[in-house]
Amino acid sequence: MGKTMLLKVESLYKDFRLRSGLFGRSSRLQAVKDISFLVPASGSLAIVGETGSGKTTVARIVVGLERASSGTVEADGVVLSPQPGPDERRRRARMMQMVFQNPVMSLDPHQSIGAAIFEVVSFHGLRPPSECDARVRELLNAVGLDLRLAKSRPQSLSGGQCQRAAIARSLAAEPELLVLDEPVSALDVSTQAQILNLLADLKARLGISLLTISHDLALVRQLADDVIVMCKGEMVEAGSVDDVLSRPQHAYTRRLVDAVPEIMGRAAASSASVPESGARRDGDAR
Amino acid sequence: MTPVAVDSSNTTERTGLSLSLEGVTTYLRFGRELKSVISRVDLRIEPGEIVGLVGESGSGKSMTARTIAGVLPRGAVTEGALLLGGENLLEMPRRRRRDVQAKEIGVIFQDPRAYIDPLWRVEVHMTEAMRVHLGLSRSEARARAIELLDSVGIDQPERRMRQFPDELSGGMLQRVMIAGALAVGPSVLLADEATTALDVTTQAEIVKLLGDLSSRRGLSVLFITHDLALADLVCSRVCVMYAGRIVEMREGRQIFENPMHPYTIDLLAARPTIQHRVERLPVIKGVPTSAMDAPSGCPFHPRCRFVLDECREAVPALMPVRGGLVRCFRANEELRAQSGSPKGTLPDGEDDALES
Repeated sequence: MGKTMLLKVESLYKDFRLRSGLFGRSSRLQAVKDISFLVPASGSLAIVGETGSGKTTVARIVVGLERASSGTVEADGVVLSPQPGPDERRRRARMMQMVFQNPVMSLDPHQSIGAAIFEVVSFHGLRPPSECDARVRELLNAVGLDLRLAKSRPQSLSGGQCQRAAIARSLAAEPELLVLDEPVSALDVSTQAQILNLLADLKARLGISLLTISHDLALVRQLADDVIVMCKGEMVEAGSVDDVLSRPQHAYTRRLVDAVPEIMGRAAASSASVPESGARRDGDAR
Repeated sequence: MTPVAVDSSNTTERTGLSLSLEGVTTYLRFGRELKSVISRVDLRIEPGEIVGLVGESGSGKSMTARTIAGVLPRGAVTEGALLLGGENLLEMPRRRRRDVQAKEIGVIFQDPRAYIDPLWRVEVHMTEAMRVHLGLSRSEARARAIELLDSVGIDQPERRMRQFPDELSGGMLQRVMIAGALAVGPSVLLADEATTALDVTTQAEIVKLLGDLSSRRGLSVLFITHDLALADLVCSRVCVMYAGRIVEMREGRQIFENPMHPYTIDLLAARPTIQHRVERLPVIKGVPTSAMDAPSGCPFHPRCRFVLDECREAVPALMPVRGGLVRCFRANEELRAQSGSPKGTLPDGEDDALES
């Protein structure tokens, strides 16, 4: 393959120890079993699965929030240490950033969103101190947030605005990979589309790779090129989004696809109302 | 038959009562001020029917449910008529109304874990209402609880009765919530985002269960969701709410084939589909508003791409259009066909950012 691989995850395992009661016998839960995948530079991979499938655990291991029981995560040709020291953590934070499901809870309520973004810019020393403010404005612009909102606290913003701010904050580190854990499921339907367009834009404009964790197959269709399906910690199917969602091979994937409430004949209906590309600006393009 | 005449012995087979809301407006109290959260809502659900109420945050869909169930915050005022089997609940003495609401209206919520006491065994949760409202003895209530758990598809109901909520999966717990809501044999079931927190495959099972229960028991079900596609799948009729008002009402499938309100049209288009990727999702500019913050005129006008001057001044009435009801001055203009040329669309960033 000619494409360079940004992220290489190899036979990842994660066990959690469970204990029932204070003196109860402890048991082992295999949350992740032998998961391997590749994310090419500027590529977009999604992991889908239901509650308890282990998809979020995989994402947390990739960004270093969780330690794998075994297996390796390799980013840009470097194997990431399972027990990163401060330097390695800083390097990893430059390399990849995570965006969480609940945007209001993932931002500090005591900090204005401008300050939250400023903190990341200055922490990584990406700009001389005199230019940090300008960079914050640039980032707010990039995610389509009004500059006047820089002084607002997360709780005074709408869910969509908060998610934009959280994305701006993660972009501040100039990462090569964004790990998105259910990026729009806490948002209203009409604001979900705005965020999905923004993410697609960022990918195209900045060449950022995306690793999306979601249970929402429609979102995956919109955002990802490739997909892996996880069930009870195991990978049951992998392939291009088109193959997996249109011609699911594994029974579990078929069950997932069939359970999605879709409107038949919707394809024709919606394509009629989709404007010509470029004919319509919708703010995310700013 | 009066709604209070609940005979505990045959509640399971009883045919239900229809529920209808006529011009219902609910105000919440903020200091000295009263602000409306839903405005002139008309809605009718027949026994055995599932009616969908679709909306985003602030649309008033949950406030509609809370108005029907009588669980509004202190100081709230409701106007209009709330008819259960022809009797207006709002005209009843307070005590009697609460009694009728407790016995006739069951409610299930989005996150079962937030509503069920984690320290109660399933048995306590299931039997409390029956003992309080129907005066059943412990063993009678127990027997009925087991029967109910069985009827909502829970295997080994006796064993489940002894378990605690944290021992059950989300889908299982939602079934327990449904069984609990049916315990006193209500005529009406309000499902407020009852499947939103569940996995898609579990959602499909719960939705099927609601359909079965509604036709088998003659329940009048109000299915509240933010998901238009799901509502279409489940409901015989779908109402779309925006900023406290119903803006469109149509028979189930028709809401997709013939959406006439600009909000419905754009909401449908904005949703990604599993079938194919679109170059750019068409978006609705701005963010949803609640009735409290709604601008004058049509509440959707700041986000509408078909807006006219008159939309800013007056609230359009709910007019019959193509077999449904639509609250829009331009409802007769086949707006959907004009969707391809959204001339009125401005970059939404500014509007979006300004509203907060």
